[in-house]
Amino acid sequence: MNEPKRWLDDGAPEAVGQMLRAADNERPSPAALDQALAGVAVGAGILSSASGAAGASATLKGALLANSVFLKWSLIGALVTVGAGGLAVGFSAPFSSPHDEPVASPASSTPSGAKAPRAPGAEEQRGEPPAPSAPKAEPNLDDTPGTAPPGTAPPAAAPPAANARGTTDGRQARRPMEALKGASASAVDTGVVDVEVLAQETKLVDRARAELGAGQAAGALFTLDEYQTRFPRPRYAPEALYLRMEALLLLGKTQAARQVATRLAASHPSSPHAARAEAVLKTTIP
Amino acid sequence: MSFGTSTMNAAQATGPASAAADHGARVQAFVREHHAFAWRCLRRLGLSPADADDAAQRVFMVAAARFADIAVGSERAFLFRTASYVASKARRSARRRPESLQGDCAQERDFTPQADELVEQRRARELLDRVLSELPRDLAAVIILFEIEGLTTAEVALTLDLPSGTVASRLRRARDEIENRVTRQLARARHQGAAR
Repeated sequence: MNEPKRWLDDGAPEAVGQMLRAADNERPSPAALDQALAGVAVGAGILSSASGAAGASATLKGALLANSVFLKWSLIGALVTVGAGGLAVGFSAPFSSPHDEPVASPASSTPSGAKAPRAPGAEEQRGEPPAPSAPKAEPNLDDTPGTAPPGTAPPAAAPPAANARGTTDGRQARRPMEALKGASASAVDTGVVDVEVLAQETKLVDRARAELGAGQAAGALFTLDEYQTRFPRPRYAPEALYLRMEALLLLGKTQAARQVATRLAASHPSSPHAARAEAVLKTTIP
Repeated sequence: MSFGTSTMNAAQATGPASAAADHGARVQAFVREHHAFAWRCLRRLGLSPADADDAAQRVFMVAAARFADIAVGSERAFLFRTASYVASKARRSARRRPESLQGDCAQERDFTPQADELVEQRRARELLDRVLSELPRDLAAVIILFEIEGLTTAEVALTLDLPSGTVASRLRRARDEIENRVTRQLARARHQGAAR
């Protein structure tokens, strides 16, 4: 059978020709490519930690499957089960990888588990280069949720959030760091519940949860670090600890996750998050 | 042969750490090579530039997860099928989102200095996207792959899992449909312009 000519070479009407050429000329931004590259780097960590290489980690994840928070992660399972031969999408267990071939370990794909590229939605991917000594250089992977890690730059070191998409895409809307810092400080100093500050806290925790839900564990850790730095007396401390624990589990940092779970259970024993953390601990600590 | 085969051989030859690094490099190269294709497909499948950025990331996360299963020569077929699924999810999500929050950053994405040309191209793309969104998906897919992305009919057949003859017939139908719709759209625009 003869290959048909392209419409552009075969008498396409002028308006159609314009449309096709315009479509052909369209290109993604460099930031979009960076975002995709970051996604595969982070995704490699997720899949390797989900592949069951670390027994304890797998056990933890098995326990977490029953957790309602993890039900939101079904998208990850859906995505990784999209078959090469079709679109048979499974909505089974979130971390049920349909293949067992070796994949990059967390250590290799995300060196030290701390240098994973910023996940989607992160400032770096939106054209905001991190400050040289900004706290986001590495997420906090150890069990120090209550204190800023040594060398962590103060909020002023972070670049202003000049997110170009913030005005057009509400998902990325973000307040400038300086405003966050000032608002946080005022709330801490006065002890008055500032609705605006509360909204900012909520937004950060929501973002961390969303990043975790999208499998972007490193991104979630960065966001939780930011939350911890901006809000020394966080109202969502139990949830932040819980999200940190989950993010660490995703990165295969089982020991650090257990430390966070222990801390959560000890510092917020009446929290429902603590109950879940204890359940996780029971499955991992004989 | 799939991408994963050589990776496995490398693992046996140089150890798991080296194989993992090699695998990572291959995935990154794969993303760099095919990102524009996947992104443009997502745009033509109805996503805004901002949503296409996010969706492209998801597409490549799926591709990275299934890297070993992607046969050489069928990369774009895999990416288009995955993009179609991801785009359908993203469109549903966008419909649930308030219109004011739906990013349409077309103006941000054009780097051409000539404003007139930029506006013309944007209008042409908007018209194309409107027409494609009105077409049956099977016809739109043929236009996207053959006319815009330049795949051969054999590649389109592989991608859409169709006989080549069906691809050719769909192409003819799609062209007829587009020509009719574009003619109607332009006539309507002229009519509205004259009425003002």
